Amino acid sequence: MSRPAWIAGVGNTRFGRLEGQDTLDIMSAAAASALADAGYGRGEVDGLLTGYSTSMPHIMLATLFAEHFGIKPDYCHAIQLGGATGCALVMLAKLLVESGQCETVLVVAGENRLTNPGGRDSAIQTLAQVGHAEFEVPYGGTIPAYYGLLASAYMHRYGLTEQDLAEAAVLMRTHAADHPDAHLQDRITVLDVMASRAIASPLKFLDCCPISDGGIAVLVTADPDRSKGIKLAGAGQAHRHQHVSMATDLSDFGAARAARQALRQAACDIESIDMIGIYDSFTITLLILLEEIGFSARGQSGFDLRSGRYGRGGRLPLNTHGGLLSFGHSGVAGGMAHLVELCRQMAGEAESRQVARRPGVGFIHGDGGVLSSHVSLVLTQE
Amino acid sequence: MQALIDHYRAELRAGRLAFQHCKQCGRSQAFLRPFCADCGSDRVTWRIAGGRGTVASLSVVHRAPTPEFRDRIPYAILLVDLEEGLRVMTHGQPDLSIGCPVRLTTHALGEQYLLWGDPL
Repeated sequence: MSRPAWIAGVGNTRFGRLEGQDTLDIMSAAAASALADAGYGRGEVDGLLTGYSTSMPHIMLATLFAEHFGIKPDYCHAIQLGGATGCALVMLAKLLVESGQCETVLVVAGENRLTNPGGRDSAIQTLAQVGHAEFEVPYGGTIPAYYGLLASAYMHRYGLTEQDLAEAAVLMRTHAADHPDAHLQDRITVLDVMASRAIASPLKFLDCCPISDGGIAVLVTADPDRSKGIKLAGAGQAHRHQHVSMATDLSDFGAARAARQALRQAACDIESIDMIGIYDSFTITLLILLEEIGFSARGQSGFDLRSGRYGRGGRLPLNTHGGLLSFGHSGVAGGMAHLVELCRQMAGEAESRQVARRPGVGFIHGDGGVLSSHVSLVLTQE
Repeated sequence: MQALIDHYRAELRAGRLAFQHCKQCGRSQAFLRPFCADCGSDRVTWRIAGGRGTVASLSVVHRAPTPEFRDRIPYAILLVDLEEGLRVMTHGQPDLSIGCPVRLTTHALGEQYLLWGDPL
């Protein structure tokens, strides 16, 4: 069997400090919001997918959540792909519906990464273990340091400057200012970014996304008549390495490979894309992905940011919710928020952030590890 | 894996950077395995690196992952491309630049021996 998969509904919690709420609370709120948006009842969900929670590690998080929320799905499990998990979950939901395995798949993620006891330093220490146990972690590596190493090399080769990176942070903050649920909304300038405290050169505090609480859910359906008219038209992945020491080809991290697969499957070319949601854990992440996928020429992403190409009024609005950098990053859910925002824009439901011409074709990209794992999605309004 | 790691560490303690070379396909690897990651052969042997390489990247860390590293802030992490064709992570002076030729030595950090890159 092969039939298309459609977006039935999307939901999110506020991102930021959600005092007194744990992983299950946040996931439940997001899931309820998506079901309400879709007009579906819990009993109609036959597939449930989730990721992981660093603030509530559990070897069976999906079934745990199913029991808590009140669902008894036929297909249910968690997956783990770092920051790309969110996009990979939606890709899997697409495959489950297309194959006929499921009719209605609930994809849900969320955690209280910021306010959980132990807090931010515990999250940083946990994430630092992502480096190679023998050849990277002992050097005091951190995720910002691994991205700092990528940034130094990429900027040296392609001529990007720290000011170019700062433009990405400023645009994300500008976009977040118009989203009521965004974690960070205070306006910032390029000067503010340049003056922010050093984290791992060349990355400074405002080049890095925050650690947030927050949850996201997406309902994927086989029934177009009960959907938002948004089709999951294409999906692709690529995995070239895990550790930064092995990411030796600055021109080919895997992003373009995943994007090409997704575009080919959707029978779209890159010029037909109207709006994008690109993973932005750090400013450099965003710029490298924009250039490798081909939305900006090599070394030109800073220029494109400055000239308004990626603003709400530009040729290719980008992360109109504010991205990880400003809407927030709570883990797996952070990497799904771009898709939720794109769906709202396509459906004309983006409120004060709504772009004048609703996007007909949208592109989403998620990245896990240190530009290690890539998932691309193409969505079309039918 | 433990036997490979123990051998690597023993060599490092003695001031030598050991890496694996595949007799089947001729590729070298910095991350240890009992097989060649390129061709799958188990005919991997140990070699000792000459220690000369080029800085591929550098980042100075200002926010440490653990209390142990907090005392060492700021410290520089380097990626160095060795003459033998593999890439290794090292420490080094924060003012090195990409493309700078370096020679690797070892230094001790607590119980552990790590690589350090000095400009040539």
